[in-house]
Amino acid sequence: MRFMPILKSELMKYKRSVLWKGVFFIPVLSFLLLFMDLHFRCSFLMSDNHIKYLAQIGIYGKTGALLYESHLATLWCILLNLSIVVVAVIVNYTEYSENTWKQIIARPVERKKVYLSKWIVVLIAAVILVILNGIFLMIIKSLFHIDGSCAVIFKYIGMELCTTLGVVSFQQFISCYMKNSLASAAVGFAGSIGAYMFAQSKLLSYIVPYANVLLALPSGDSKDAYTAAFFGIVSGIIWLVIGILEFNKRDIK
Amino acid sequence: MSEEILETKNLTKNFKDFKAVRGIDLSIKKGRVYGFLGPNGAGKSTTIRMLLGLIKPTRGQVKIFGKDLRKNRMSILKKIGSMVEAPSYYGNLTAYENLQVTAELLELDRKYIDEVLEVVKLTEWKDRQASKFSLGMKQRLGIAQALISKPELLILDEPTNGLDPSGIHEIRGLIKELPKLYNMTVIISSHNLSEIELIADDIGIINRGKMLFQGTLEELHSKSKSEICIESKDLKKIKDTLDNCGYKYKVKDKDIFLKPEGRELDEILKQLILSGNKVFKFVEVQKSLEEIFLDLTEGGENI
Repeated sequence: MRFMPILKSELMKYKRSVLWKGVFFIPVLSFLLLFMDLHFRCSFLMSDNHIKYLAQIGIYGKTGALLYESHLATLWCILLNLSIVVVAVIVNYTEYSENTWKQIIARPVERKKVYLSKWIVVLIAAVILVILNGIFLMIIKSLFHIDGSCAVIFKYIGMELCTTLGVVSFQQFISCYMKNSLASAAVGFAGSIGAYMFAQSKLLSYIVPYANVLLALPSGDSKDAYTAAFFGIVSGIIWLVIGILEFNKRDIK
Repeated sequence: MSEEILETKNLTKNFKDFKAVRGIDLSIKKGRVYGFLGPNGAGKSTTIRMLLGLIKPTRGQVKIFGKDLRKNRMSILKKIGSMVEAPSYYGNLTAYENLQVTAELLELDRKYIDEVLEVVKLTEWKDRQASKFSLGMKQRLGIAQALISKPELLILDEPTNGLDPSGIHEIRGLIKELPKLYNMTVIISSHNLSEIELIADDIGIINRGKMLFQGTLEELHSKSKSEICIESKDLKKIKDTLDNCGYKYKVKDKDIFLKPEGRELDEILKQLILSGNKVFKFVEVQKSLEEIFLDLTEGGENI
């Protein structure tokens, strides 16, 4: 059985579902928050004094200040994590709500391909979220005539894509493993909100996938962001493999 | 003798300490409707899930189309359609879209969707969201999902569960037509004997994970050993006579039920009359299928 028909059939399930509306709504919400923030405080945020202050914590230039504002002040990092959690929960709840797992697995399809198709849907959602946010950042940059190169925004998008890999794989595993979708949502919400706490510890900020996203903002020599991106990719691979192995062995009751 | 399409040997499933299925040997012949009967919790659904590869057996072997399920899962499942317990569907999609998802997954031509909708009589409702369907319509959609690949073997687990009498009648009619329409073998599980009696050619009875009977309906009927019901004014005297002659009997209300155990009925009657008994009633009674089922399943007790 080829993989593409399985993925296509997976994507067909979300017609009239809130999934894609949510995926597009969250970056728009973040854009509106950032727009209002800059509308009211642009002169302060882009002032020399503030830029100098940010330089002391490793955020350089006006574009850096814009990313800092988006990532931490308007809580994009939390919104991104939460959105991935919600998408993964919906993708798996679709099967649990009417127990359609048994209908799929009783077909001549490989379990790993079924799991992978769900993982890809979550990944696609994560990529759309990150890219839309990137586009909105560039729009804001242009609207408020913020100086600086867009390269740092592209670098930020790249870091985010790498760090979200861990969240995508971990949350997909949890949401598929736990029959109770509310429980898996609770784990994801706790992880996303607790990311601030985990980020206080160097070790936990690398190990916990939700905290990786927090470190995606390039600051200083970007060492933290690169390490987080590396750990994001590694945990993305590890949790994907764990998820596939568990799903292959599972009894579908 | 028809060819065996499905065979299990010593099929066993344990969930921790609970033995759900205990070494059952199924034998299902091609082109027949096989009724898999047992009370709730008897192990029917667990067995069916093992046949579909949804759960792994603790022990035993499943052979379908002459091939081992463990080694040939994909090629076997290509020829099987199934509906396990409640029908599964995506409530946000219409009946047509639900079937489209399955057709895409199985790389089937879209023309089969209309064909199968026609068979289950859902064409009129194909553009309605599945969540707005009645239970009967959902069951029919479930059957359509199972039929879409035109399987050689159709497995339906409790397809009439929760339906009203007219819904049951409708689904029953549909299932009876399938072997003729598509030349397929059907396995249908149920806890309802009368339903199975009307549909099935062969029957398997399971209780507490053990296979209690397997064979044709006629064979099941023949399992019923007749009894003689005797009624008399003086019950005590009849009992004394039967005791003296060494008969085994049971007393229910004012009737005595006696198993002839190979003796001629006229001989028994003669012995009773010659001993001075006044016999009002002396009739041979055959057990109903329901009584046989209850006997086999120890009262049809649910787990």
